[in-house]
Amino acid sequence: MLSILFQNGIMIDNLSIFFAATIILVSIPILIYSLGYLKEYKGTYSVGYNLIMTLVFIVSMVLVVISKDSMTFIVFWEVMSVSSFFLVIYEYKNQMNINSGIMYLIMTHISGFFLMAMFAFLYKYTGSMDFNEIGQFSYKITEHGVAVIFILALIGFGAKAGFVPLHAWLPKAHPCAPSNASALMSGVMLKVALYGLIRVLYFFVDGLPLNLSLVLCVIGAVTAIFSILNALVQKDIKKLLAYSSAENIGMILATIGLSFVFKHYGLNSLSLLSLVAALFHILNHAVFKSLLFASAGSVLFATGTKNMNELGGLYGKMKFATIAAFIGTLSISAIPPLNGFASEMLILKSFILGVSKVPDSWVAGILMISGAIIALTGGGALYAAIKSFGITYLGSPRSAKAESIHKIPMTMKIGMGILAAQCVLFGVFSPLIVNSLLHSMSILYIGTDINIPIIAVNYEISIVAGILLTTFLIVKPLVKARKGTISYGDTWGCGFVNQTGRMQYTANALSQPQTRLFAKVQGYSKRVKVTSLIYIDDQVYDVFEKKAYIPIVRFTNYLAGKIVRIHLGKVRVYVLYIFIALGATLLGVYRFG
Amino acid sequence: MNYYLFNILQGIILILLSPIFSGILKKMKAFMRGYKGPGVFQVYYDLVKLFNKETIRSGKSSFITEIGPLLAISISLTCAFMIPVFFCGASSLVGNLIVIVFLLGGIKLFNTLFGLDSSSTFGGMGTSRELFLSMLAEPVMFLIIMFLYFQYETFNIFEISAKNSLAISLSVGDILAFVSFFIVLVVENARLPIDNPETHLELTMIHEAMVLDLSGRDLALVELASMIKFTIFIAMIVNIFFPIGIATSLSLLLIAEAAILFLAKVFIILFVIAIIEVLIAKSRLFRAPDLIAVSFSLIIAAISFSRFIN
Repeated sequence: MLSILFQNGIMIDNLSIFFAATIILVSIPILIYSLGYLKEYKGTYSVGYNLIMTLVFIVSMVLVVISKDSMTFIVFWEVMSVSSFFLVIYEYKNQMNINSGIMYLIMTHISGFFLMAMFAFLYKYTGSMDFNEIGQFSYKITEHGVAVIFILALIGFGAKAGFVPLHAWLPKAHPCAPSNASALMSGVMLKVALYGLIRVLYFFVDGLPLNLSLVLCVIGAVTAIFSILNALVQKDIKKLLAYSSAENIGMILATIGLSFVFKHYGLNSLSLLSLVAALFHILNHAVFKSLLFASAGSVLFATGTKNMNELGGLYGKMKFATIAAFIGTLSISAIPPLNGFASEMLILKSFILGVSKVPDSWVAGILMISGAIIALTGGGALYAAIKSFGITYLGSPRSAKAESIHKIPMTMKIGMGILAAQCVLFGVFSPLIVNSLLHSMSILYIGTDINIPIIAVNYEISIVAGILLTTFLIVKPLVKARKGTISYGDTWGCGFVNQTGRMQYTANALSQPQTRLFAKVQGYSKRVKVTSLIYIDDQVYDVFEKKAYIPIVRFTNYLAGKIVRIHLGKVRVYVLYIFIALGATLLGVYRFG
Repeated sequence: MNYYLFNILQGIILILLSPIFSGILKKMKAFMRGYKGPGVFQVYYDLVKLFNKETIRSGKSSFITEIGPLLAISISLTCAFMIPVFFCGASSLVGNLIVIVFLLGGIKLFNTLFGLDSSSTFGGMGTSRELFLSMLAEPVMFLIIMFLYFQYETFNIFEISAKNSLAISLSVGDILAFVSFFIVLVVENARLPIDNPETHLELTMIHEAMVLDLSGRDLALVELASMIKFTIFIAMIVNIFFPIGIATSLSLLLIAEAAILFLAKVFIILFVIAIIEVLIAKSRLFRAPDLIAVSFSLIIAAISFSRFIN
């Protein structure tokens, strides 16, 4: 395997370096974190196995983004998929994990299959497997070929990145994997799929037609809104975070689509701006989502549950983890000057510029609606973030599990601390990062260092951070100087004295108002059973899984039941089958090849 | 340098005046209902009283209650320095509308966390409702910023009011956008018919429910922060849509004129809010999305006027 790598060399251009840097930046703190986190599994599962698989997983991801030809790419892509599959089924004694793992494996193979077909098509048109040569000969790809490659890439990379409707494995696999693995899968692996999409669409295909770029935009917006609405009704923290990852992927995809719309109209600098917005959000999402998954992992480590309805009041017992999670929450809900805001502002700006600069009205209309949906998604993200943070860490414990907790080891704290620091730094110093991204991408993508739109690189966010810090430092002593008597009492229960943790709002209750509007999309159903007591039971299912996946599975089962009849158990018949198949293949190659 | 000094000065004036605007609003409502009501300075006395009182926190509360009020007030003060009040001289350093709106979202975030922090049931209820409404209001705000970008080709609120101050008449789009912004103001600042700021311990409340367990200094800071936020919204709506007479250069006469005009415009906005609050009862929570939908349609229409029809 290594000899292949050395024969063909590795791809080092700015895009690959950016993604490799993102992966490494997140992987190091997560590796430190895993050292402590894996203590939980001592005795029940093999710790060494997990560490080795995690390392293989990280290395294969780095190799995917720096591989230079399609063969190496596919090989490491499969290594990445399989190693992450083994991480998903790490807790193999739980049957649910095996089920999710198998679903993940199937989706992964669908993805791999479509990617192989895509690379085969690229080979057909350009006659090369080397990425640079494919880029050079991209003019040979016909219009029809572009559409085919686009669809194959969208399904292939989309199944991995979790575009609706191919997202269903994501909220199943991520909660099952151990938290260090799910942090990497959600934070980084999805981004590797986006790397592939960006590589293929920007460098292999010579300009995407307008309607295909709008398809990207619409799929992105639909993914974003559908995923965040589904995130809102979850009570499992990791499931909520997994859906929220799909939401962010949708936002990034919509921005990539926007970039092609700009390119179609020859607005190169704006196209570059939205590409950079997408890339910057990729980096930021990798950082804050890994942080949030890591803190969800620390909750799981400390309490043994990830059901928010059983948690609450963790602050008193795990202060550091709470503050780290709080920084992650601020970041994901796009509060300035943290990094989530920095990239979301760029995305929103690119959408506004898109609507205002695109000459065709109908295109502008589609962009406007996509932008509004992404803004709604932003509001939903705030809702979901406060739900996951507030219910889990604040208030008082809702069950015995949240009351007696294990202490989390130092290494986990260090890992989360590094990620939290990155969240703050990438936000406050975002103009520097955006600037350098703009420069490096413009050389790569357009060929020259073009004039950068001034709108993107002003230092507003750093200035705001400065003013905010100054104000805070001035206000703090001013307010402290007043009579500083602070005493602690019980929560005021309006006259009621025997309050327990179970009387607080639960995770389900918090997101109840919006289920009245969106229950259909969220697959939410509530049943009330009245006996001598009243039971309320609510269920959430994924609409696409129930309405699209399960019928397909049923149909396949039915078909398989029919096909089984040709198994006669006679070798002569099987040889005949092989002969017919060979003939058909030859005919196909002769006719269409 | 003088420009920036004056920016800071007008920010300070806005902050100092914000409680009195709440007092005036209360006085107006009292007048219309036919009773005398407290004096306009009562709000200051209340704040001072709260500051001097003992602060009692819930024993279950966390660092959110400790630093939250401080951060909320810092955020609102920061925003006050980033908007024009009666002077909109060259200021490209600050004033990006997206930054201001998201920064004000920080106050909302802290308020909602206060609700969950003290582990009271009321708090959770307020949090849930506030988040529900603000989630729906988010796209409207985004579209308003988009509309303003079409009209004035900038995200900077100082430049917007400088450009608009020369305009003699309002376009149709402007009027629609104004109404839409006004509805967002009502929603974001917990006014009637979304939330009744005068009631306590009703099952209907939103903002008061979240800050129910705060007292003394914490409550004073949070209340002041919401007052400043309310004033910032009013200053924004005034200076974006009716900046006529705003001072664009530093001259004493111009600034005096602009200050008087600004106060007059704020009084008109407050008067409109007072009329609405006196005439309308609080609507059900699930009627609120209808109002936001109205606002959404209006801003879509406004964008259509400025972007697609010309």
